[in-house]
Amino acid sequence: MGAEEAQTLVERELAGLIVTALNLEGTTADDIEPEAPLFGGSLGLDSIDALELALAISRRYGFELRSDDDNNTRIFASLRSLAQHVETRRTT
Amino acid sequence: MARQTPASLPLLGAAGQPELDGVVAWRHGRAITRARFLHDVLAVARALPDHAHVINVCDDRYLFMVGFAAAVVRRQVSLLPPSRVAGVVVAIAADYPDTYLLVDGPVGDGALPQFRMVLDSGLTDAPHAPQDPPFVPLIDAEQLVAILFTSGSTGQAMPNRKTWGALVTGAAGHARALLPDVQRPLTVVATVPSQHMYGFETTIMLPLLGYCAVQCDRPLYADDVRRALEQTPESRMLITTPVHLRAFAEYTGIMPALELILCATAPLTTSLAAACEEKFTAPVKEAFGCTEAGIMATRYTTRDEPWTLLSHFVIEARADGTLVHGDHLVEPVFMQDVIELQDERRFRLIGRGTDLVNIAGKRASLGDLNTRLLSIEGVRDGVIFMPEAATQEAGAVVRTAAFVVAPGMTREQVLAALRQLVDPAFLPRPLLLVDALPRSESSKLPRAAVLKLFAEQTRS
Repeated sequence: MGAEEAQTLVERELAGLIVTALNLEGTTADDIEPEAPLFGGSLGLDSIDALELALAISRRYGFELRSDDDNNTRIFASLRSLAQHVETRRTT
Repeated sequence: MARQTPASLPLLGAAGQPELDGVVAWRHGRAITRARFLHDVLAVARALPDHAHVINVCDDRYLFMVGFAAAVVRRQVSLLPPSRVAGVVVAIAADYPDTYLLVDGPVGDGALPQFRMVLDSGLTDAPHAPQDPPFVPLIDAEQLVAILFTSGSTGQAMPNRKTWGALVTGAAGHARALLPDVQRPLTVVATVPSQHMYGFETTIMLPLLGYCAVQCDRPLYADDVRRALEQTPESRMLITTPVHLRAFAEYTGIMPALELILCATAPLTTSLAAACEEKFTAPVKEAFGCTEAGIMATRYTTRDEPWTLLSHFVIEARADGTLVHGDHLVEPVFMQDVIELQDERRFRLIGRGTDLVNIAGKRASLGDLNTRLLSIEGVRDGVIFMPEAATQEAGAVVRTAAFVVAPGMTREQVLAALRQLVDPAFLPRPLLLVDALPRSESSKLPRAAVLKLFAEQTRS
């Protein structure tokens, strides 16, 4: 399944944000598979990235991420789950 | 600086005589007294398996501290790995036979014997501390209690051996410089791990010496920090890094007022320090140091540009770095940081040696990272380097980048192999596959040629 056709609009926007905020040259927004793990997977993201990503999301969507949300692990499980979380919490 | 270290020092309260009903830790909103801590330490010390070394990877700071103290009592040496990457832990264990892993959660490394810290089943959560007066063990100042690891250029993690006396001298030294004016009782909240020297000296040694209590969480996001601080009684001190402070300064909510913010691992800009002073209504001070010597100098960022050396150190500026002397150091430590002395106790930081990379407080040597890259089967040539930071947003983390010659391998395959060998903080971004490196005829690889190729490859 090609990632391009599988990304929704918010997922695509968020994928672009991830690539820019985390400085992932060599990766394009299209390369981020919606269902693939964001952390511990092929993107090689770590806790500094989590912090950068939280900052970028707060700037763009106007809400703060927390690591002890009950479902935090699920939120960061994939681009798709993060996008769903953004859609429910966004204020901008 | 000649301060005689006594032959033995108490495990708890070496800096004075702290009240045993004083708080040593705040855990899940509950206070843990020093008496309770001593009982936990002795109970765990009795239960620990019989080995010479223990790799303590506990996340919870109280469990880490109890595990460390119990190991000291049992005369076991705590090995503190720079990273929890499985390959790093296994490599350390290979160098230190008779080792087990001390864990407080699931760790996937089944090769080593494990001891799991479980205090909640009857120890810490008992309603009352046992009635018998707690016993404070005396520890030989010369006893080797911990080995912290930093990356070296040889492909091996470099061990830094710490005796109990040296750790007590180091922590008491920076406490004397940083804490004389703060309101007590003080609790430290930290975003840095206990296994790194900075986190170890501030969140484990300061409470053990009796200067403060520690909050056991390790908050990450700004909103986590706010809540961790709100759940901690005043006075509060935040132990953190420039990477974290950058995120906290932009936080949209209101941060509780603090007594002090301590920042280390990379120099902080005056503007970020000023923004955080306003956000937290607290002075921001910086610590400068290294794993080998611990915290060596401090500065009040918005007031002083030069650093003030702590009283237990003497330093010498060299052309290519700095030589550090201290009574608690077995031998002088050479650092790749180049300094300019203003007088005996004040200096300016000029720069770092080119081999050192420091990403969010994790330090590695490029030589070491390159040795690891080249050890991957199928990688014929390659270089990991630091790109120029000019194009980045101020304060943003600059990562390593790499060119790799690996015919027949994909970028993902090289990255997957590298991920087993290095901390994620140092994984190259980007990692670019090339046909050949721009080596000179003598097969040297000039940095200018690497940066030129990098500019060409990333321009598109």
